[in-house]
Amino acid sequence: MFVVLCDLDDSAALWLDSRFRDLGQSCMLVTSGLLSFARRRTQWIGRDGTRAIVDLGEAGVIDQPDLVVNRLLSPPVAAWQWAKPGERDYAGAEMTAFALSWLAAVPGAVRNRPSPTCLAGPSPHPLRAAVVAHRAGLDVPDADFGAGTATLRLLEAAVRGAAGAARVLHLVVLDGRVVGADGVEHRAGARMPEGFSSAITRFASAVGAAEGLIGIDIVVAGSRWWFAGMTPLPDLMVAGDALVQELVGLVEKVPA
Amino acid sequence: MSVMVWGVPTESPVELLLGALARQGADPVVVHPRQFLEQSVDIHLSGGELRGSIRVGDRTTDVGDISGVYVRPIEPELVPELKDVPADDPAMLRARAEFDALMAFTEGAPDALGCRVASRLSAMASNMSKPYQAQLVQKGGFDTPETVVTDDPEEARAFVRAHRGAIYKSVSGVRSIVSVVDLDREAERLELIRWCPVQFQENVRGRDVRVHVVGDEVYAAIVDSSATDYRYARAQVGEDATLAPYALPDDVAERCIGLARDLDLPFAGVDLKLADDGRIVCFEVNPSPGYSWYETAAGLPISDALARWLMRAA
Repeated sequence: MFVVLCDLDDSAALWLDSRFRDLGQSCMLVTSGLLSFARRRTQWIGRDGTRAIVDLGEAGVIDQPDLVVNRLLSPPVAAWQWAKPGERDYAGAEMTAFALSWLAAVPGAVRNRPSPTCLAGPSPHPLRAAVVAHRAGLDVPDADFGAGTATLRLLEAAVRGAAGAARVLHLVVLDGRVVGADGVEHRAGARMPEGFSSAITRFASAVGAAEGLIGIDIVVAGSRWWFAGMTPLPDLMVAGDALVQELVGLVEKVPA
Repeated sequence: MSVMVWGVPTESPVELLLGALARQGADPVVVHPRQFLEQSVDIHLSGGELRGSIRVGDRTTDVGDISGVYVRPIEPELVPELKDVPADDPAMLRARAEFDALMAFTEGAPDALGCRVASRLSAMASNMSKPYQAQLVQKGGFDTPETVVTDDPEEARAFVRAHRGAIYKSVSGVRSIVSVVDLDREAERLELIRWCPVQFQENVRGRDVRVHVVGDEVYAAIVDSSATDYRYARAQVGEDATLAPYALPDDVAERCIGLARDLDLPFAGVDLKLADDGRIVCFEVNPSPGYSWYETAAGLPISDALARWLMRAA
């Protein structure tokens, strides 16, 4: 059983779910809203290890999935949307805490395991990501992180630095490797810099995505490829069926 | 080199640290969350390196000259001067921007500058889910209490019966008073958990020990109280808990230090119980311990250790 976990407006997740079904895989599409109205959610933690069951009624039961593609950004709190603000906030904290613990231990191949700062996976602060990218060997633009600056600092800075020649590239990186790497140079219209792929691998490992599915934005300006940010919610459709096949292949690698 | 303290100077853990830093001859840069109008933060990347400065009043400090940062801020929305101020008010925007810039600095500085940070806000987040943190604690070599997190009343009843009693508490980091489940008296309330999972744990009996990890040092206090939650002993059993220094066995101390390191929490409060059945059970790791009571009541020199750790350039 495959599970694709996402928010309702995640079109990339909807696409992935349909591609899994096209390939004959049994797949559950579980939105944050559906999870919020689960019939039963239980997790046991103790000397015998950790196990859990999430019973979604007619939609099915999640207990031993083979593959989970986790793109859950929001905690499952739809059931609390009309509660008093204080109660809603408390429920939000509790449901986030439950989802974090559940997804950290759910069996099978899971991309991504959540992080405490983001249910969808590794999500380092943009400044830390840039510092780590530089250490990993990627070019990083000069950027201002001082008071009053915007959120897309790196991307803005990289595009501004590259001026008219800039081309923005979104890379889908699975377990430290760029998916569909062969087509990247074609999309970029430029040769990949020496050592770029291994720098991406080092970066993924340093941000906790050695086993993870992330998106990396690159601004290409001729021979310079500038790191411009990362996300645990890559645009899956960019990588297409190559990604679908690699995700299916993960199931075969999980020890029985 | 300078030490930066990001917090309210009159709050007791911050106050104790400032005293310790003064005793050790340091002149820390104190970034006060309520004085955001008298402060400015300039943080940028240049050639892949973190650069910038922090100005407090007339004093400007280059970030490269900061050896350590103690992080205990309050969110702008909780600053008294900004109570009920709209999010788009210029003062709120200024306070938020300063908070965000300081957060950027503390998140990036350990990797970029080798600066010691106790602790990164992102690392503190592991405590926002107790069962999640319990999984990390187990990997660190400690027992954790048998636990079920459930929204199924029948499952909760079965767990309580199987363990001949249990306690319940919040799943998240939101503070809750640990209480014993009474299945007879709370039968009706138990049905309410269908709306939101609740955490039930075996009621581990024994002595509580709080271990403060500071870098590779530990300072432990043992608690004397019959309360279920010794922090609320007066309300639960009519008298306050008392504390005394406790000599932690070396192997337990090593595990506490390793656990804090794995959680990226160079300053942490590890809650242990010396169970009557011989186990050493870890309940949680507090990522920003309010250590004042343990320092004053048990005489543990925690603030001195923290000051030393922050002043020691990595």
